Amino acid sequence: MDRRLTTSAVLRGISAAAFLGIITGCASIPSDFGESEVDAMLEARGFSVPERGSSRIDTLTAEPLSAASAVRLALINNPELSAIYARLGLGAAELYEASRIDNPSVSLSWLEPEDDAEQTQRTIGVVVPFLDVILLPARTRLAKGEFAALRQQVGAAVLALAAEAEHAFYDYQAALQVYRLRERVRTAARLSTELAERFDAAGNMEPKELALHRAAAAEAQLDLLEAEAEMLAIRTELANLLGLSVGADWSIEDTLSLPVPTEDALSELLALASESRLDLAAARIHADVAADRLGVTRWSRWFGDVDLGYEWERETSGERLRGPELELELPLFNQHADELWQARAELAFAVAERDSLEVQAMNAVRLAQGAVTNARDRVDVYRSALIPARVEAVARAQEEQNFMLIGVFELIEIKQEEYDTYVGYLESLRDYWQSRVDLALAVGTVLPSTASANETLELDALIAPPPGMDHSEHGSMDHSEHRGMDHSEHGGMDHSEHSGMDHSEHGGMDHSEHGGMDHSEHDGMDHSEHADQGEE
Amino acid sequence: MTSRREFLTATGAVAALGGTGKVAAQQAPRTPRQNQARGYRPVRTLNGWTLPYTMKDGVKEFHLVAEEIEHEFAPGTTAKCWGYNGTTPGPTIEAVEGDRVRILVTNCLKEHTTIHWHGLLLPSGMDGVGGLNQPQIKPGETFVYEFTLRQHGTHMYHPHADEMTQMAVGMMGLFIIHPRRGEPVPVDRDYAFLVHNWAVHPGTYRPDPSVLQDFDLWTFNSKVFPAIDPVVARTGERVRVRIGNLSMWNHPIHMHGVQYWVTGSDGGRWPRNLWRTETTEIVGVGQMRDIEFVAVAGDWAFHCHMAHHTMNAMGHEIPNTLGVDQSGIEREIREMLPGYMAMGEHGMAEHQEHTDMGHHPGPRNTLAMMTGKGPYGNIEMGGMFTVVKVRDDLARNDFSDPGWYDSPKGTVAYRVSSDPDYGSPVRRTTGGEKDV
Repeated sequence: MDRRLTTSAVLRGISAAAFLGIITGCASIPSDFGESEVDAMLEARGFSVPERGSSRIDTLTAEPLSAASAVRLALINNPELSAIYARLGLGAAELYEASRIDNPSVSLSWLEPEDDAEQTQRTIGVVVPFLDVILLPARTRLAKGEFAALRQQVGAAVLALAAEAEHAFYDYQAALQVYRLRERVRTAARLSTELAERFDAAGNMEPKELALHRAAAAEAQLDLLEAEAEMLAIRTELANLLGLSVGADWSIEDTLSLPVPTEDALSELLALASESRLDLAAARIHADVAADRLGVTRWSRWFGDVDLGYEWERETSGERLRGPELELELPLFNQHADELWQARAELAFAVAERDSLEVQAMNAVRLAQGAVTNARDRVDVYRSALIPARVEAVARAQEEQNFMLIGVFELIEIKQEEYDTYVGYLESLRDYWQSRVDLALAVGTVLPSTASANETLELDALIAPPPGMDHSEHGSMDHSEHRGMDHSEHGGMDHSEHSGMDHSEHGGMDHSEHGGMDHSEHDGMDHSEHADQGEE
Repeated sequence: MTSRREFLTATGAVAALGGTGKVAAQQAPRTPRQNQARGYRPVRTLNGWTLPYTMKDGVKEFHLVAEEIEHEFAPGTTAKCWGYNGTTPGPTIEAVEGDRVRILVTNCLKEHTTIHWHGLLLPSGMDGVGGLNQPQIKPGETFVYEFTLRQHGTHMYHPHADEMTQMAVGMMGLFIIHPRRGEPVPVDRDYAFLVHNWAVHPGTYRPDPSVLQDFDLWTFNSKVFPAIDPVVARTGERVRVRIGNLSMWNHPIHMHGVQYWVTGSDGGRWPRNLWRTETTEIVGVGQMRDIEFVAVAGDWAFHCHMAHHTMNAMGHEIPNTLGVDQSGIEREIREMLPGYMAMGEHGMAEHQEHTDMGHHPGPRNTLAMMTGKGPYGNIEMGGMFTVVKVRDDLARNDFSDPGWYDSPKGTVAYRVSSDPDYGSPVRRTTGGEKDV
């Protein structure tokens, strides 16, 4: 018997290995299977992940959702999210398996001899699959690498989900505003038709024209109904992504924001993408792991099973035997070249995937940034050229109508064309924000320019022109009842709008209460009727 | 009891008497002898002027320059037009039957031009039809027209190269030839104008020569009311007004307060037995008419009787707002269009109130269609409208605007009631049934 390999030494070795296995294995699997690490990665990329829980959901839905709060809600309430995070459990299981040493096995045998004179032969053997021990560090290291890659991938999937939710949010925001615009278009068409009916009542409208007006009004009503259906469909999509019921009482901020003051530079975004993209990081880790695995395979392929054991035997003669056992595969007929080739192929595969993703990621950033710029340019054309021209056309058309050079129907038509322009404007703004979502996804992090404050687009201010003080009611005002009126309350009156008024009926009025009034605006007024007054 | 002078004036007997003798002297027109000494009584071109000449070896030499100009139709509308010597119409050329005239024409336009002397008897080569009688005057060139005047009458000059365009943007002028022996019936005041039409689309600054019928501005001497000079005279004076038409439409010219005689055309002075009394005379395109009347005290409207020619720019084929009740809906429309105002339900009379007060401004460079204020209220006119202002106390050669006529007491229409049910006027129903 080889005295160097004493029982106690072997036993100690085995327990040491087992202990090591337990220690190293346990340390690499967090209790939440890495969920908090994923969340930390997301936070590092600008996404705040709130605690999961229904109270948080209620808080978020109590106010109209913003893009940011909608994303936050998606991150805690999207029904598919659990499926995504569950993948961590699968990865954890694999890591567990990789970092464990297979349990030793014990064999027991009792063999009864036929000859009563002899004793039962008893054998107890313990075998430890020593290959696990040999390979454990390498295997654990590789599995940890894969688990890290998995966490990145899970993070990337969560970000993709958040992006989908934000996309749907902007769809909904635009749809709401477009709906309100279509309401106004419908109102304009309705007014035009009602006006046509008034003309008809006076005997001034050709029947064909009246019919055409009614047709246009009905078409506007149909457009509105279409917009309503669209709005509901989009709300439902968003509700699905936020894990809410479409019929529940939640709303969103219904005003699109204007573009950020300055977009991020492309070079900055490309650099950010390289550092931040989780799928890229996962692919890189995966390629590194594959290389590592190839290195390990180079030497591990020479090993088959290595079983180390110890056996105690009591022979039938009563003789006791004990000693270690070793079973070893001899790499004579083959050296597991297949394992090597497989490892090589997997490495090539992983490297190809990583390289391809590198290229695609940078291209995706360029594409998305191009889309952002393009949408921004479109928004700019609306703001700086098209909308001002439409507003100008309406103002100048109003002047023509004032002088009876065109009629009211033509004026309303020109106004409707202005409204139609706003639909395109809203859609280009929506495209802009959705392009930014795509860009953030391509870059793998919240864009730095998101921090800069955005003006919101006040649709009502845009489409309702500033009210002007007009005298439309004064022309035919009947002043004949002003004799004997009590003017005692006129002390602080603003008379600035009265220039040009017909005051011919004011003769005979009692003006005794007007002392102290500011008459500075009355220049040019005809005061000839006031001749018989006393004080001033 | 009317004085003999008043009686004679009223019946036009002064004209019949030929204006000679004591009666004429009491009215103080220039005597024929006085006329002859000067040669003629100069014509007064409303809002215009007469081209001076220089005598060169017995020839009256005039110089016309064809060029683009800035022209004001009335305060509020100006445009780039084409004219002569800075104005449209160009300056009036005045001469006497028998004069030899030499007219230099310099072309400062960017295209060629010529001048045709409408109604003048002259050599074929001086007639001014480009390509036919002469090569066109190219930009920068100066041509000379020279001929002896063999007639007297009221005439005009205008281009005959790219004629439609050049006339459409203002090129024309008056050519008055006085009789050698003086007026058989002396005239105390002699006015002249050309009627015309312009397509200055609202908001623009240039007439559009491609418009053939739907014009925006109708003018006397390229001016619209209220910028047309009044025709002023002293009570009892014999006044002549010469009217020429190079527009695209005929114009029935109507004068209030008198019956005038139509005494001549661009074919010359008519014999007396052909003189017609009218109050409205159609001056056709290409025609001229001389009308004469004895001035009666008052403010008398003098205008083309086509109602739309006494308006400034109006819309064509706009929806008819007469009788349309917009109460309620007007306010709703204002939510969408704050400047909107329902107009015209009871007619257009309110319109001037609103435009005068600046309630609803029109396009730039565009006059309101109805304008003008008289002593009793809004006149609501535009275009081809002016006033003959005759005063007892207007001095002989005073052409300034004497203000508004102060009607003698008892001669102004007055109100007896504000009650629409006042009195019992007889009415007829539409079926033509018996009077109710």
